[in-house]
Amino acid sequence: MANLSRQLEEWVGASLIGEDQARRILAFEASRPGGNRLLYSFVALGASIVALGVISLIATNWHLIPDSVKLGCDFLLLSLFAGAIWQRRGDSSPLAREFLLILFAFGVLASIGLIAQIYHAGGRWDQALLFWAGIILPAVTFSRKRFLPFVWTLAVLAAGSNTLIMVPALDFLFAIDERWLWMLYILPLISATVALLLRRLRGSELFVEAFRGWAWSLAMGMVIVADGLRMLDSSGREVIRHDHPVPFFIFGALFLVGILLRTDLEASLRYLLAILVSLYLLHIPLAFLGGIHHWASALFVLAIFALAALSLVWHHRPGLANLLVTLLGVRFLLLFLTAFGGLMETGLGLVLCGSLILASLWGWLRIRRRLFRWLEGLAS
Amino acid sequence: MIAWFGRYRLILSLLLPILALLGMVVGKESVRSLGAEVRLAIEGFDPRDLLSGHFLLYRVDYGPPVCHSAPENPGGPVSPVEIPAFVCLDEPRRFGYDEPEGCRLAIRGSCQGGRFIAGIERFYIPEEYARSLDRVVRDKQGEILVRIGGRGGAQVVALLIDGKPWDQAARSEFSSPEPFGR
Repeated sequence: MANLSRQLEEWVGASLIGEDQARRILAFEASRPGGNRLLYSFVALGASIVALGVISLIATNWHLIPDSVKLGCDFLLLSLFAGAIWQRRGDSSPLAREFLLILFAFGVLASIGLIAQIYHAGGRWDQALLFWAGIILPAVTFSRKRFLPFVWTLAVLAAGSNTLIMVPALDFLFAIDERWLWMLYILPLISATVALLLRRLRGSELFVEAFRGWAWSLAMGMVIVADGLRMLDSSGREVIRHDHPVPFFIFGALFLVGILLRTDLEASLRYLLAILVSLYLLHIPLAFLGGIHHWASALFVLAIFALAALSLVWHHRPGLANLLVTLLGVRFLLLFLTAFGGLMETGLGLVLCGSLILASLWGWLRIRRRLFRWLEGLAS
Repeated sequence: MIAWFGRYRLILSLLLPILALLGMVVGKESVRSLGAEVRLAIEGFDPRDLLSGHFLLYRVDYGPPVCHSAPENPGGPVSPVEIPAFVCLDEPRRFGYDEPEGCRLAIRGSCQGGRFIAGIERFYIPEEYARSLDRVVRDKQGEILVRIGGRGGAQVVALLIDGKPWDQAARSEFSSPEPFGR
């Protein structure tokens, strides 16, 4: 916001826009989900710490206080939060309402824990989280910032994955100890699919952003894990048995077809995403099931990170793109260190490859327009 | 109808979690008050659940062997995933994967990794008594009092040490509670 204020001042000074326009632009930006990030980060941090403190207090198990008093205080607190949110519904400053929404959401989660404690209830963590996600969703839709939707989405993805893994019907597909790996492999695609389906729902922009954000993060995380496993065991042995991962490949193939059929995307972006997803779908199983050397895994990683960075820039996510480019550089360095061993050889290799990258970039900038026009011609 | 809903959407959204939690409490309280009472022997250990405080996690002794094999493979290994199962508490007690016919009192649960899980395998206790109670239960002096609802859902009501409620046993048997944090 400070940068925007400075820019607007410059534009007003250069008579490009009027002062009234500048004020209206600032007000509009302040009300958007990404406005005033630093302040909002502290609000979210403060609210989360308060909520965690409440949960810790519950965890001390005050057996001297009657259960009815504990429950009464809990419901009173929730009602107070709800009342305060209702009172601030027309508030021009969204921060206070966001703070209260976070407290309310975590307060509900803490209440589930309190009830479980009072009645000595068993049950899995994923069941509790899914229950919380279900009952708090309508309230979360009133959030105008990213924090709550992102936390809610993470809860649903984590808890939903565990629930799916425990389904007895999947017994015939693969062993229980390998299910988490396959689930994490396919989870980014599931998350991206949900983001795509939610796009048509009015008012779901923050959830779309959340599912998409987690899809990217999980996918890159899985690539790093798979590559790491191959680096640690360069013998090419399989990490897990290949117990019928066919359904995942089918889902992956359908996802790929879905991307290619998306007419709302530019053809060049569609092909870029299709190549990226294809590399991801190939890399993870090859890394887990063995059969590729860690050098081959490194090449996959470099290609995936480069294409992902390109795609993220296209989607106006420069922060994540920069992170991927940094990770790409680190992986490059590791590749050369393992390949050559010595510093001198590594240095020569890096100079060579860095020059190759710059030359490729120059060549790409020269030919990309012609390439995309050709691809678009193919598509039509 | 839609306009009305839109106007009151915030209130309904805020009321939903509160009413859902109230429903949970009412449901559990009804089993605790009206369910059939049963006493079961236990043996256990003590982990921590960050969300819900200290609890005693134990294995319940139902009598007959439970979850000894997967239902589709009677002589084979146990299944690692959850499979619905029942324990009939009428004498003689029996275990099965199908709902027992003619059984007046049965606990509904599931088999996971060779253990029968019915939602009654934990009892929340104050931190300062955790180690003492864990020791006592490992010595097989513990029992739980359980209430069972109409559809076989069970709920722990009390933890008994040598037949006495755990807090009474704690006052008379334990010289002092374990210091906090040790």
